[in-house]
Amino acid sequence: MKKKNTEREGTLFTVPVIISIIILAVIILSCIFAGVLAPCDPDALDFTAVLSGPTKAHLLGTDKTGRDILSRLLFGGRTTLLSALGVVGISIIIGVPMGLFAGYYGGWVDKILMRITDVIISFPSLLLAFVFVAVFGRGISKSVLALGIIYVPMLAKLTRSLVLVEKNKTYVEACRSIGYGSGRILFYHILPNCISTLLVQLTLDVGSAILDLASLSFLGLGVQAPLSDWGAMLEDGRIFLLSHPMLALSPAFCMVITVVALNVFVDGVQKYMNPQERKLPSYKKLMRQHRLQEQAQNIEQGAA
Amino acid sequence: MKKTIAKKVAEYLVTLIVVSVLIFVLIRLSRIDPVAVILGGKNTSADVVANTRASFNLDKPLPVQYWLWIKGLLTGNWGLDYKYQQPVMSLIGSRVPVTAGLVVGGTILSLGVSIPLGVYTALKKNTWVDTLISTLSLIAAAIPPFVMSVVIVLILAKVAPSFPITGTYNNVGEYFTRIIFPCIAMALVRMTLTMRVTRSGMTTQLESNYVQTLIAKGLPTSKIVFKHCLKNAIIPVLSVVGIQVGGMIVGAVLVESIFSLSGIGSLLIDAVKASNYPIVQDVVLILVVIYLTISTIIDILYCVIDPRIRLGAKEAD
Repeated sequence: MKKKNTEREGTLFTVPVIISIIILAVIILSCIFAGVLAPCDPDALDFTAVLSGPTKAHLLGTDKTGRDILSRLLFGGRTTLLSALGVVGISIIIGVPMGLFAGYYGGWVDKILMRITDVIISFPSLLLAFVFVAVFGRGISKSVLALGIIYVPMLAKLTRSLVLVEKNKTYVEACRSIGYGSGRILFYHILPNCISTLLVQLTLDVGSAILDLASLSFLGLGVQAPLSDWGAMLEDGRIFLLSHPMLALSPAFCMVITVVALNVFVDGVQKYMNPQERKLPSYKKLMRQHRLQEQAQNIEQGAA
Repeated sequence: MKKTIAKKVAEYLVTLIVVSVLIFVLIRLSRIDPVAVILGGKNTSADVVANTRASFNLDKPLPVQYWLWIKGLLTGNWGLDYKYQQPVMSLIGSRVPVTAGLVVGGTILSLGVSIPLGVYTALKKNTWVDTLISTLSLIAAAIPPFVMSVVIVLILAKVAPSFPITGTYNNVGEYFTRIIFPCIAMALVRMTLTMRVTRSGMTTQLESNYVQTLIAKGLPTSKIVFKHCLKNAIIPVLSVVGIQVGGMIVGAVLVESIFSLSGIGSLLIDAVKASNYPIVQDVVLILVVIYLTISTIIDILYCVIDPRIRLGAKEAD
C-alpha cells in the first residue's frame, strides 16, 4: 500500500491566521506609507483645535497641542515597529552565532557563554534595561540597544539547544567526511535546519519587543520628544484619560492588536508545523480524495 | 537529591555575586559624575568636591568601593542617596509594603484564577468554551500591564466614580482598596502562561492510560481530575511560577506609576531619571535577589515534589 503523504495535508491558512495576516499587512503597510497616508504633519501644532474630538479634518481628534492623532499614530507606529525590528536584529546578530558556536563546539566556550546567559536571565526582564538606561542615558537608540542585548541570551539558548540536536545527525557527519570546514557546516547546513523554529521565536520576540519598548517609552525612558511612539503617546494621553479617552486608547489599541495578530500568526504557524495539531481537511474531503486515488490506481492496474 | 540541592544553592550564590558585580560595574561605567548629582550642579570649590567625594567613598579604588557597598548592605548600613542625602534604607523601607502587596497579591490572584481555568479548559477541550477562553488569554497576553491599568481606571471612573483608587493610604482598609485594582490589572495580564501550561499538562494527563483505568474502576470525575491528574499536571506549572513572579516585579514598576502608588517601582524610575545611583543599584540588587531566591526555591521544590527526579536521584547516589 502506498504510504499516505501527511506532509502536504492540511493548511496553514486557517481563518485566524488569514485575519492576522491581513491585520499585520494593513499595519505594516500603513506605517511604511505613513508619509502618504497621514492627513497632517504629525508635529504640526494647531492651537485652534486643541483636544478636539473626532472631526472631518482630524479623524481621531487632536492632542493637547492640537496635533493630529491619526498622523501621530501612523508615524509613531513606524518608530515602534522599526525599533522592535532593531531589537530583534541586534539579538540575531549576537545571539544566533553565539548559540551556534556554543552548541557545536561545547567545552569551555559553551560553559562561559551559558554562565553569561544565566546571569542575564536572572534579571526580571525589564530591570536590566532600567539599569542600562540609568547608566547610558535615555533615548530610543539606547533602549533598543539595551533590549537587544537582553534578548540575546534566550535566543542563544534556543539556538544552542537546536544545534545540540542537529549536530549528531548523519548529514553533519557526511559533511565532515567530505571535508567541509566547521564554519560551512554551521552556517550552510546546520543553520538552515534550525531556521524554522528560530523564525517562530523571532516573530514572538518582535511582539514582546513592541511591548517592552512601549513600557520604557511609557515610563519616559525610551523615545524622547519630539520623536514619539505608541508608548509615549499613551503616556501623553494618560492625563486626559477621563475627558478624552481616545488619546490614550488609540495607541494602546494599535499596540495590542499588532501584538495579538503576531501571536495568532505564530500560533497558526506552530500548529501547522506540528502535524498532530494541524488543521486538516474535513473527513468527507479526505475520503473523497482517498476514493479518487483508489479509482486512479484501479484504472492504472486495468490499463496494465 | 541532597547533591542536587547543594548544587542549586551553590549556583545561586555564585550567580548572586556575579550579578552584584555586574550591577556595580555597569553603574560605574556611567559618564555622569556622582559628585555633580550630589551637589546638584552648583558651582563649588574644589575643597567641597573633594570632601563630598571622600564622604561618599568615591575616592577609594573600585574593589574597595564594591566591598564597602556589599558590607554595608549586609550590615544594614546602606548609606545616603545622591539626590536627597537621606538614608537609602528608610527611603526603600517606607515603600516596601505597596510593592510587596502588589507582587504577592498579583501572583496569588493570577495563580488562583489561571490554574482552575486551565483545568476547566482542558476538561472542555475543543469546545467553544475552550476556544473562547484560549482566544481571550491570547489577547490578554498581548496587553501590557499599564494598558490594562488604563482600561481599568477608565471603567472604574464610569462605573464607580467615587471609588478612591489612587493616592496614599493611612490604614489597612485603605491599603487594600489601593492595591486591589493594580493587582487585578497585573493578574489579568500575567494569567496566560500558567493557564496554558496547566491546560496542556491536564490534557496530557487526561489522555493517559491510567485515567482509563480509573474510569473503568468507576471513580467519579472530580476525584480523577483533582486527586490524580492535577497532582501530576501541577508540576510543570511550578516551573513557570518563577517567571510569573519576575513579570509581577516589573509589572509593579509600571502599574505603580499609573495608580500613583509610592512603591519601590516609582522610586526606581525616579532614581533612574535623576542618576541617583545608590538607589538604582540597591533597588535593582534587592529585586534580583528576591527574584533569584524565589526561582531557586521553586527549582528545589520541583526536585522535591517530582517523584521521578526525587527517586531517580536517590538511585544515582
